[in-house]
Amino acid sequence: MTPENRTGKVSILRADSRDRHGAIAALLHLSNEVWRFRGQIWTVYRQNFRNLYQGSGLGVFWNFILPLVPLTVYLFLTRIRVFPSFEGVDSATYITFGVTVWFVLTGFINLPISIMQSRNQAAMKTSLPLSASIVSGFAGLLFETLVRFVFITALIVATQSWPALTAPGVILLIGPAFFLFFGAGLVLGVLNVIYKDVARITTILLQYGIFVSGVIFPLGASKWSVLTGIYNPLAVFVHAFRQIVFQGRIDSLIPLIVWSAIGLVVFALGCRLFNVMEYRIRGIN
Amino acid sequence: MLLATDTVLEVDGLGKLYARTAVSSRARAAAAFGRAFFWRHSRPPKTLRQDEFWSLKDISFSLKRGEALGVIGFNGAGKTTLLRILAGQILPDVGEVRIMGNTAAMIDLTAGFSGGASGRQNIYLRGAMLGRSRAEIDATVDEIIDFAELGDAIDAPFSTYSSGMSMRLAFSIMIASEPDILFIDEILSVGDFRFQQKCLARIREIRERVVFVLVSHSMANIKLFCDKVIVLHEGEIVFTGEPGEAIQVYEELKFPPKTSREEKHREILKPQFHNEEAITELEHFWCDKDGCPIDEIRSGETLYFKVAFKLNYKPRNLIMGIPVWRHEGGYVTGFSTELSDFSPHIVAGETVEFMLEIPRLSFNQGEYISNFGITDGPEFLYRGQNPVITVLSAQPRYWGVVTLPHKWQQMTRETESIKQ
Repeated sequence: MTPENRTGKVSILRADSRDRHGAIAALLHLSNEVWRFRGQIWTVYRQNFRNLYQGSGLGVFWNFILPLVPLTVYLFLTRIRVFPSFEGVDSATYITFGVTVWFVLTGFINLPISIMQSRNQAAMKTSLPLSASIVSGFAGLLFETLVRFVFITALIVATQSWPALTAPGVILLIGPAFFLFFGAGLVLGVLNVIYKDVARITTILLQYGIFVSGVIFPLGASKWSVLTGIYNPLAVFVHAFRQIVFQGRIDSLIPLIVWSAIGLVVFALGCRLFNVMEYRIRGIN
Repeated sequence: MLLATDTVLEVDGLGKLYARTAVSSRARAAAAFGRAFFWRHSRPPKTLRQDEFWSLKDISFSLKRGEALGVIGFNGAGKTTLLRILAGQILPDVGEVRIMGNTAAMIDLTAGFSGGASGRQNIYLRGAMLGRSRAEIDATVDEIIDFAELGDAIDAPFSTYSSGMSMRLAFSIMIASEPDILFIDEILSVGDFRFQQKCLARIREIRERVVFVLVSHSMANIKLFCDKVIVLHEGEIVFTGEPGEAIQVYEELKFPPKTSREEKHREILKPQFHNEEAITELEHFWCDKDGCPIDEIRSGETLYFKVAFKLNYKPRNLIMGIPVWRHEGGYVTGFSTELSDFSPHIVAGETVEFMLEIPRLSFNQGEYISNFGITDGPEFLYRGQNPVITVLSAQPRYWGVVTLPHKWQQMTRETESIKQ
């Protein structure tokens, strides 16, 4: 619908243009926008990759080094024996894997929030849809995750914490996790433009969240921990990711299915709200 | 609704609401969020909050292929908001825009550029933003670099470019995208005079193929490029029609007929100023050769101007000047001691008198208003209005504001052979 287009069709711009879009129409519309601006998304990502650390001594190597810093911190702590081994998995592998999954899941939430906040003004001046900016942000997250996984693979080999045969099943978990957390990120991103506190509250919650999601330590056996393991979706997914990779089973299957179903609803809601609100929040600073 | 044949842009009852504070913008956005959350459609705003106003109201027009629309109005009239809506950068609050074809907007030319990337990388970045494929950009990248005249600087980071260089690059990328509809906000802010002429020539070149919506404060450009013009005033269209008539309406808005002559003159002559500590006992007026004040003279006669004042200190570089306007506002000329290489001799605390002589006055019939100004280097000591002088024509026919001495001569074969 953005008229800076090359479709040759009639574009109609009106206040309620997107109000009639249901979740599927919104998703199709956003996908279409992302496809149309794929060249721009790729160019922005490549240039950010090249230019982010331009002028520094190590240049583009910072793109490889920085994602590994948090992992190496935990690796260092496990080597000086602050952490025992958990659930039969070497503590270094356990923690670095958990932290990597954590960064992916929280990235799904944080990226839309930060991009909507930072690009909202610029989007108003360029006709570039925010969806394109968000997707180019995801390219960065994907790259960082790949770098971390290469590091974890090396660690697995070094510590001989061999994964289970079910490990490829991790791919099946990415979709539901993406729907749930990215959907939530879209809703929170829109809300954050309207209520500035949303991003800060989310950051605080996630900083506490890492300690109640089984990322660094497994959740205990207390009643409170069991409830956290059911009602905290981050804990459910982190645990499921780790179990399917290293233990070949998923203990919390029902919470996982329930949260996956909720994820679909949240994703549908997020896409629709973002689609309807994108132009209404433009220019608000 | 479909567009009528050949119509590429149709605007129907457009309105845009703005708030003066972010609090109100957020409140309205929160209400919209609530409606969207509960799957309810947005409604045209019925009541305005305290600090809200209609930036655009009930705007309707249409454009056919090959037409160019000019939009003129004062600052804050809603011109750029209209352009942003047409370019799809913001949504209207009421009404509808229908667009056939691809569009490009030159509103904030350097928006969307990445400071850390080189000019060449930015060509790809901005080109992709306009929906062009890499192959399409590859095909025009040299043309863009040539047009922007950036030479080797094209591979330097964009952040090192001067504003002129960034504007040139931005314009070149935009114009190379060959859109069906082009929205332009003040094209003449691009680069230096020579580059501006080059841009105008390029725009003239694609004029037949592209629909233009041009916002400008340059009435010359509006006349040059536009078939029709809308005059926006406080967010509403107050006139749509021929450029000449539209400019007249705009001028009338600038100087409403109800404005008194004195108010109009004050507007033209700008604020008056008198440093009373530095300069006293000041008088200045148009006069005859005997120094007697006059308010009327015939074209071709000699006009005099007398000034007397006392300066309370020894100036370093005293300059006196008299800028002259037609009473309706056109700037005619100026007389100054600096232009005439005349250095006034001033003794601190003593009254001095000067007389300016303008032989064979070339002004045509009409009323002329003027200021008398005194500066000491860059510092203004005085700027005050002179009495109006009325010039009567000595000739039955004349053109324009001035009649310059001139002579026609018949060239004969003899005179040409003498030349050779």
